[in-house]
Amino acid sequence: MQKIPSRFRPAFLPVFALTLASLGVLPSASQAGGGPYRGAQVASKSIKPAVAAPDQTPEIVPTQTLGGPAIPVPQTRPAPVTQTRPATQTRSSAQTRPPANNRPPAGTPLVPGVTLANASEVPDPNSSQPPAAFGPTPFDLGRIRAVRIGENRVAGAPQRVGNVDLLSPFTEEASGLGVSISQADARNVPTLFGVAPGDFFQINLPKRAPIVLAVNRATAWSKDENGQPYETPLRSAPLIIGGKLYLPVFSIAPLLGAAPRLTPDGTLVLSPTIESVQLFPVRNTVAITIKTSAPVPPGAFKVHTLAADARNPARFYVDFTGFSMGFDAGYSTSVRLVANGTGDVIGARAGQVSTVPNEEITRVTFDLRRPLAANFTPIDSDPTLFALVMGPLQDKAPPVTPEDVDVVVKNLENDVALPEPRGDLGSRGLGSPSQILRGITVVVDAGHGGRDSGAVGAARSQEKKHVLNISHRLARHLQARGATVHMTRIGDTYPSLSDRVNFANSRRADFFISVHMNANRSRAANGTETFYYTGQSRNFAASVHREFVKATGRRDRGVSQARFFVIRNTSMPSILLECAFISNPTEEAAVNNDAWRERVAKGVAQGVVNYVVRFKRPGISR
Amino acid sequence: MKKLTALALCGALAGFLVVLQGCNNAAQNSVAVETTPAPIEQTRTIYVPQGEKLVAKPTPRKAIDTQVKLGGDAAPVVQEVISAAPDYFPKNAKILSVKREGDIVIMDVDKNFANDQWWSSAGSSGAGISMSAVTLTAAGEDKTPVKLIVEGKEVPTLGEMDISEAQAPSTELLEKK
Repeated sequence: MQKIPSRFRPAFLPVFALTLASLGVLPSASQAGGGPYRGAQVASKSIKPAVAAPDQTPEIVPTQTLGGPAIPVPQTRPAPVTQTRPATQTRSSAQTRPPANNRPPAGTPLVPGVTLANASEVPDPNSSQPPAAFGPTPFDLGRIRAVRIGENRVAGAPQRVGNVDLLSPFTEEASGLGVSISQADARNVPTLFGVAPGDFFQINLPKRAPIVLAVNRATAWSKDENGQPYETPLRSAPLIIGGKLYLPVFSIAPLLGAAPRLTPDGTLVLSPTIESVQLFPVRNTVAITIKTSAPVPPGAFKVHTLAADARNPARFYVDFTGFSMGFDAGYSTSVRLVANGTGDVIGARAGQVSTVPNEEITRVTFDLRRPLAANFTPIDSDPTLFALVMGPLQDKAPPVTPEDVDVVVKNLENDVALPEPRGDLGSRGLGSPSQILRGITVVVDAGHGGRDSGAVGAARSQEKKHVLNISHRLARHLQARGATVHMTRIGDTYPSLSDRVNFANSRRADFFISVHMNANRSRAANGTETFYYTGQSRNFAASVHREFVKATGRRDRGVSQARFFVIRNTSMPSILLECAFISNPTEEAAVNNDAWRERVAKGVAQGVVNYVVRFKRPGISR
Repeated sequence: MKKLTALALCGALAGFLVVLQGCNNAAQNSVAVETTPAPIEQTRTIYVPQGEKLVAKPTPRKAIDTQVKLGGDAAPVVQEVISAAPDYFPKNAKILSVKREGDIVIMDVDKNFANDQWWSSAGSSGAGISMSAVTLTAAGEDKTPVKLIVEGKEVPTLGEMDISEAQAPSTELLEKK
């Protein structure tokens, strides 16, 4: 075929196309986008083009977690929580904690994937790292060259376990902490598959059940005051290295009530601590008890009396050589109030007045309304407990009688000396289940209340009453483990959801736990469920839920993310517990049972303990 | 010779086009007979609470009610969820409008629907399933995030739930087939 001459092409082709269009053979412009008729709105010119992608389902991507499996979270999550926080929101404890010395600035990429705790960091609500995580940071761990227990330097270099702990063979030197380590008594050994009896050993503590450990197992076993067994997860397992037993220092120290302090030359010093100072009215005067984590050797304490002067009231103080302030001192050595006053005692302060190696001195000072004398006597039945009874200075100070000791010990056992919320002054040791939450503040939120009865059960019981009952029990269990507990309501009142959030934020709580009962139109619905919202709450929710669901004994509905106002707007790790369905007759009957409530409260408290032990690392005194 | 060939080609083409135009006119005449298109019904899925699950129910609706993305108002569709399971919603609850604004769907409900006491007493399971039913239905096929407002005003909470922002509907409670 002959080619069309080039001079024909420009004129011929457009004319041809126009001709076709005019004849209706080609589609016109108005018909170009046409499809089937879809209603009058199709013709509207005001229609906006679709902005969203066809599928709004969030894409799931894994995020890095510290020491755990990758957990998928929605990438296209809703707007950040910070946008909706109440104006009165306060900074979290992590934000307000004073800057730690010798720490690299935030964001220093020392270890990829690990967030360093730093006072200047703004907690990311979607971060998997607990915001209040504090030392030892990887930086701290990297600086430790030696370990000293009291006055005894541990032979053998410490072994670092990643970024979580430090192993040290301090079995001999542990006596400096008032404990001994021996092969485990067969009666204390749990049944474990694959662990030879010889691999169990136990730490013997004064006046407490021994703590049993096993080589290569990151768990400690012990019994509480009631003889009930419990487990505590460790961050690292004990190991046999070169024939020596190496113990995880930062896991074991809190169990012994010992405080670690890092000296400038890179020595980690573990010392026994002053665990608590409490004042009781006894026989028209005041008795004082000082609890230590280890027996105080003779000569390791001295009492000094000072007269009032122009600037200070009359006072006396007790110096404990070789003891440190412990964890309740906010991880510092500075002086702080440790007990509220009663009677003629204005209050008690404590601080570490000397951090000279081998000469650590913690001073407990009592401010007095008038000059008083004191008789300071150890209590025979407990070498870690001292009683001090005040008396008029002009008279001879009354001696401590066995009756006084009985009163003091009984008060301690029954907690009757703690009628007021102890606020920030709460202080107990960390050496037993009753001390492990020392320094931790928890807000317990009993849901609903007052005009809001919450769900109503199959037998007409009210959610607000059940959750208040369990919340009181939970508060007691947390307090018994040393936590400072604030409740959003203690009676049948209704704080608004915003009130509850502001209450927790303003108290800079470490944790927020909202207690609820579930309900559904279907009476068959049943089970126990835990909710969280922010990323920082995920591990906390999982940790508590494990114990929570064990305690309720109901179907495990799992841990879910949900937009409940109180857990979305609180600035600390926050969870909402749905104990059981009161719309289910079987579960409502359980909820009405005091033993069940007690078990649930205790289980939740144990979950908090497990989380604290695992994630809230004991710090290093500066 | 070349000119003759070109002219012959044009003539043949013109004849072909004349024939083609005749056919086209005939087709147009046959369409013009149907002057008023019948209302088109489309199948819209609503999600109805049943026990602890949501059951998907295909429902025939006028197309205009289903085209939220194109400016329609799906309130009647979402209201059907309430009608199908009235026990799962506050008494006399009404959906006022369901309209798309930008990349979210705004669902306006009346004060009966936003009965705080009812939502507080429903339990997280009960409230969750009721809320999922209406938001999932309002979200449509593309699961557009839904923001709840009450009689035209934004509110921070409904019962224990934080509704201050649009939320992508969850399909977790959908009954598996």
